[in-house]
Amino acid sequence: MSRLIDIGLEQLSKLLFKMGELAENTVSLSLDSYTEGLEVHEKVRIWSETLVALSEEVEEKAIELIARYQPVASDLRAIESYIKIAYDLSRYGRYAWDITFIYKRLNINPNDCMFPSLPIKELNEKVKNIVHISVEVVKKNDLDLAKKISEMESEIDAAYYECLDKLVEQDMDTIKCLVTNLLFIRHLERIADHASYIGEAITYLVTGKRVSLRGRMDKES
Amino acid sequence: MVKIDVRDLNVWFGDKHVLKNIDVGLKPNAVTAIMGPSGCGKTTFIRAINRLNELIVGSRTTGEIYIADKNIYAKETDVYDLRRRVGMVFQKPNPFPQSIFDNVAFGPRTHGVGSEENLQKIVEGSLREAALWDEVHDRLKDSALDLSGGQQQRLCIARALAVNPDIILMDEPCSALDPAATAKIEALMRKLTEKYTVIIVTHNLQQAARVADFTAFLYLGRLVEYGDTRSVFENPSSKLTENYITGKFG
Amino acid sequence: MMAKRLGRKRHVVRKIKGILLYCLCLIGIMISLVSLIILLYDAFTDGLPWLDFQFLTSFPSRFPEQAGILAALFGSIWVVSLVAIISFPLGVGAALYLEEYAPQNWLTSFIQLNIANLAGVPSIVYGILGLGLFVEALALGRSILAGALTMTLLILPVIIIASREAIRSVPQAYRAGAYALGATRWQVTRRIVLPQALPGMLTGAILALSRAIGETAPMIAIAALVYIRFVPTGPLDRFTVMPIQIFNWVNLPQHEFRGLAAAGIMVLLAILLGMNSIAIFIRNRYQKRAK
Repeated sequence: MSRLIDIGLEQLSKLLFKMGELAENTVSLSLDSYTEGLEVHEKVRIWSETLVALSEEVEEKAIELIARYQPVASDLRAIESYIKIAYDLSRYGRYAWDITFIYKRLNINPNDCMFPSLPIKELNEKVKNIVHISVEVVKKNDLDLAKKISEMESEIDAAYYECLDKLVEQDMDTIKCLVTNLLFIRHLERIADHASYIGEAITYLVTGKRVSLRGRMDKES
Repeated sequence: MVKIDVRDLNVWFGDKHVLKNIDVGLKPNAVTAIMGPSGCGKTTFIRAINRLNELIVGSRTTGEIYIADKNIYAKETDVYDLRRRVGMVFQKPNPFPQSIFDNVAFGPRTHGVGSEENLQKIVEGSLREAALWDEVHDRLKDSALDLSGGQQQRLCIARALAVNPDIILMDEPCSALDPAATAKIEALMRKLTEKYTVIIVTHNLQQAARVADFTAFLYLGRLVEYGDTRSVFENPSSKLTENYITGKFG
Repeated sequence: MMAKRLGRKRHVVRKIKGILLYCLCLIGIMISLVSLIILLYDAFTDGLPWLDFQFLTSFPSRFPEQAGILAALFGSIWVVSLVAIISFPLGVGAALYLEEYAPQNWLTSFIQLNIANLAGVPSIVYGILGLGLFVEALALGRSILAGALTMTLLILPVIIIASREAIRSVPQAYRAGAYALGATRWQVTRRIVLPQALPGMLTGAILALSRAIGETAPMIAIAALVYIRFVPTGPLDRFTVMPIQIFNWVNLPQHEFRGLAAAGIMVLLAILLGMNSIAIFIRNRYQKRAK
């Protein structure tokens, strides 16, 4: 039996799927641009602004559903989760844009700043992967995928700290490159955090329990 | 401390098994909402608490209900005193075709209060408690039937309060009223929990969510779920409850 | 084009049917009204000349000029008063028992069926019953009391049925409200049901009494006398009633007695009108209140 609220919920999911696809592409493009030195600043900016606009659309639709239909139980949890996830996806776009901005703002050629000892490429791949899975978990509401996000987030945290340690050991005359790489891996870590927020939101939607999927600081040191 | 303790309650009307093995403890000084689809036994359930089902020919009740640790279905129970202690407000306001004063005074007079002075005090006190005094204090001799629907319902509440009950049962008290009158009565329900235990039957899920501290869900005569309202409406433990409150059936 | 024409035709046919029915109803009521008017006119023109104070205060006589309806008038009043006093409590009590207290079993249904049947039994049967039971078996003689008791039996089923209707018309919601406050069955009956039902009961009782005042056959069976020249002073006195007096006058050979009979009819009608007016007045007054 179809309810009035189902139409609205379907519109919300469609928006989210659209955002997910766009966010994934934005992040991929941005990360690749960093490691391969592509000029994609303008494109990523447009995509990021689109993501922000879409997340505002999700919020407005969600508030309308709450005001009109007084949703309860799974419907209510879904709407709360969708609002959060839309925000997280828009943050993906924002960080992606920030990353393209690093080189542009500091006017550095990325090829000058490769530290071979840094596992930046692996970090890159891991983050692209976690973003992909976070988009999948929204589509499928799969708790196993949410668990996987949790595991990957721990790995990324570990890799992040590894990079930090290695960066600290570099010479001071490469400070520009140190800064750019630091910013880069910092943004990557934040992207991974938001992926785990998405996992938590989906977990709440399905089980009604609020959990934390993020690794804890004390584990790392 | 549980005020109302229902143990293995079963009710039949003729051959129809209307309530099946109900076990629940209802908390005092709180509003408990009983919800469920039509015909699930909600009204029968609350009428079991003041033994009003016995007025229906062919009804049969087994099990026990303990109010303040005394089984109201025991042989020694004075059912008239029980109905004084457990008041009831009906779905359609049913003031007697008498004056406002006589309506509220009916209960006390029935139970032996004769002095006019006492009755005056009781009537004023009850009307104040029901948030109706300000509107009718200057026309207590007018017919109760001249009042608006919302006022009549508050009059029925005052009438029930006049006999100093412990528990107030309300059977869909707002379903015949407009939103403004409903809001007044819902606010009154919350205020009443200071002194009384309120059990309401409602079809209106949003009302249950607004007004009740605890919510019970009845389906086809069985108690499916009972818990604090927040949990029941945010994350119900039974799939049946979830489907009912999200409107997937019922 | 075709459809429009057909539609119009159907519309006209329906209109004609409506008018036809209206005319039929009008004719029906006209016949009843006209008959009633002719009857009343006849009675008035014949009786009015004979209706005077002397008529109301004299006893019957061989001479039409001296005859009057006094004995019959008082006899009727005595009988109706006694019937009212006896039948109302009995009827209301029976109705209350059947509606509020009786269990739903075959005996109750049996009683209910019989009451309905009794309401339709011809009045002469009650007369014969009264003769055998009250006049002879209980040795009350041909007294007012015997007549009143016979009439009570006659109208009791009607009063019971009317009272039951009145009791049933009390909304169940009132009873529920009273029970929910802890009232006993008697308290509910006395304080909620009876006050609410009383107007209906009274109306029914008065209408039943106005029937009793006009019933001739049972009184004939009891042999209420046709020629008494005294006003009854007690329930055990012999008596006559107006219908019988009128009946007697109609059968006398002298032409003048027809006029007297008509005058008697007018008195009887006036009393009936009065009683019915009281019934309507009570009903209207309580209907306004209950609203």
